[in-house]
Amino acid sequence: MSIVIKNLSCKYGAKTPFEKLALDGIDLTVREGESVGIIGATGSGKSTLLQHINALIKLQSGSVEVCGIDLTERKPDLKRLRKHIGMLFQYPEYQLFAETVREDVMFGPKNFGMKNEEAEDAARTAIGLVGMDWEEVKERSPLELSGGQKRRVAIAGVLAYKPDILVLDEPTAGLDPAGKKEMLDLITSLRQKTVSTVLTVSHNMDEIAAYCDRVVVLADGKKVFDTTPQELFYRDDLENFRLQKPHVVHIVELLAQKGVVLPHVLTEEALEDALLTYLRERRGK
Amino acid sequence: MHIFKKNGIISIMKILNAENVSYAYKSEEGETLAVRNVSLSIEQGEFVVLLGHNGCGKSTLAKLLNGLLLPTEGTVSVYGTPTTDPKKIYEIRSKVGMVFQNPDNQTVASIIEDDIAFGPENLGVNGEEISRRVEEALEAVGMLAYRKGTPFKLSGGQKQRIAIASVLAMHPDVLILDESTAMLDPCGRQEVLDTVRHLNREKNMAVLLITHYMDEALSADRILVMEQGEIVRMGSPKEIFGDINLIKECKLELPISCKIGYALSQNGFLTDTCLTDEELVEAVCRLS
Repeated sequence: MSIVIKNLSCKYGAKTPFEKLALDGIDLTVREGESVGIIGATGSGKSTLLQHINALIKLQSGSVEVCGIDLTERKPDLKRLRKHIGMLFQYPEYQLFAETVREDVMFGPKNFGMKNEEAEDAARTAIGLVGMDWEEVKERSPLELSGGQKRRVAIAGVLAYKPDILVLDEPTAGLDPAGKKEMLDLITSLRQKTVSTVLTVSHNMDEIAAYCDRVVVLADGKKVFDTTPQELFYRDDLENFRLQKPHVVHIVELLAQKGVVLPHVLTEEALEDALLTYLRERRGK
Repeated sequence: MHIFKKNGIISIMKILNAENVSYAYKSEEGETLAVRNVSLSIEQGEFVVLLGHNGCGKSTLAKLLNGLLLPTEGTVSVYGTPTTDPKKIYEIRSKVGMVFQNPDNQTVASIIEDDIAFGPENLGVNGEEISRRVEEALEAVGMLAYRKGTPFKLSGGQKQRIAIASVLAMHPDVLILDESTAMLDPCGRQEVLDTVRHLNREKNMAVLLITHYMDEALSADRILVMEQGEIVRMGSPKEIFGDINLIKECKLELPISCKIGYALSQNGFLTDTCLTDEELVEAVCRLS
């Protein structure tokens, strides 16, 4: 088990007029190798949940266990915890700080105790994993790179210390269509090559539908659904949770209303195939 | 309405006109040409969308349109006044309002109505008129109930609506939105788009929307496509999204309904370009 969360609750501004229950009795287990999406409207508790996984927020009630580290202990080994988790916040490119790409990507591994040479090796490998050329970029300032490149350098900075779980907060926000596609392909290839367990927070339902095995929906701090994308996105009560459907699902449902019944697909490719099959059968008759 | 008669012909006046505009960023390593020889105009009440991948020069062009940047070559004029005229620059900026990407970087006051009043105050508008404009602007974006509140407690979408209202209070004729929905969640994005559509349709406000979301471009009157600093194509949504080569070359994306429609036409089922989900569904129903 990679992450086991039991009955987790969290209150902001306790005993003030602004008291807010940000998380309310959350149970969540993430197994090794799973790709789990976390969705929900703004203010539903997604970010607070992520912060608990990396112990960036003090545990108030309930329990969190990450890669065998129990966060209810009086002094959990936080350094070890954070080496297990590669966490990318929203717009991670704003967190690049060093003068060269090399120094920036080496910062993580060095902090976790690697010697210079070892850290540089790790940085080189990580830059390769995100599809960039080490020799070409290592001496460049991160500030000169394009938006999509900066974000990849930020991911490399996390991959360099070889985490076991990747936690991504809105990984494609603000990217152009080409940048978005690159990022999704990158996450898919990272899952195959290095970090198999991925937790993604996103507002983009198309993205969640495309690469998550499981989706968890939060609403007002509570977990309301924990199921497969297929089952979730074909429910008819999603509007109650301020959630939109992926485009593909919207099209399939519109077609069904007009009497064209297709299988419950989630991706563009699958929809294309399903429609072509349907139309060919019709033509055959 | 800025309608004028010339030789007996009534024409709608261009609000904004850019002629052969180029802009180069200067640095130690030399010059980078970000905008190359661009000509465009925006007329009263138009809804224009500007598409292009990151780094193609969209934001630079936007900043040239209200004099935040001045062209290295060519001229940008607003109602005939060039943006290079230092005496008229504030007037020009009040006519061409701009809303940027990050909702947190665009508020100046801690009370919403003060924030809205900031623009007209700077233009020297009198007190009574200011409060009238504040009310009108907040009403237009559906945020009147929040006038005494603070912008910091609002959602992203609400903050962007406040940013739009503070531009509206200066009575602009064109609203330029530079990826103003990029940082918002789907609901916030919808709020802002609905507000912009409403202003365009009901108040006849011209809009230039810069975006990476192709579906935001579907209801535009005109789409401009930018690539390496140039406007390489101008056309209706059907023309732009019907041209698969253009979309590929400029690293854009077809909306999902167009993509599926295109695949169906490749297989001999369709002939028309389907822009929206509804159009695609209708086309499929007609086939079966």
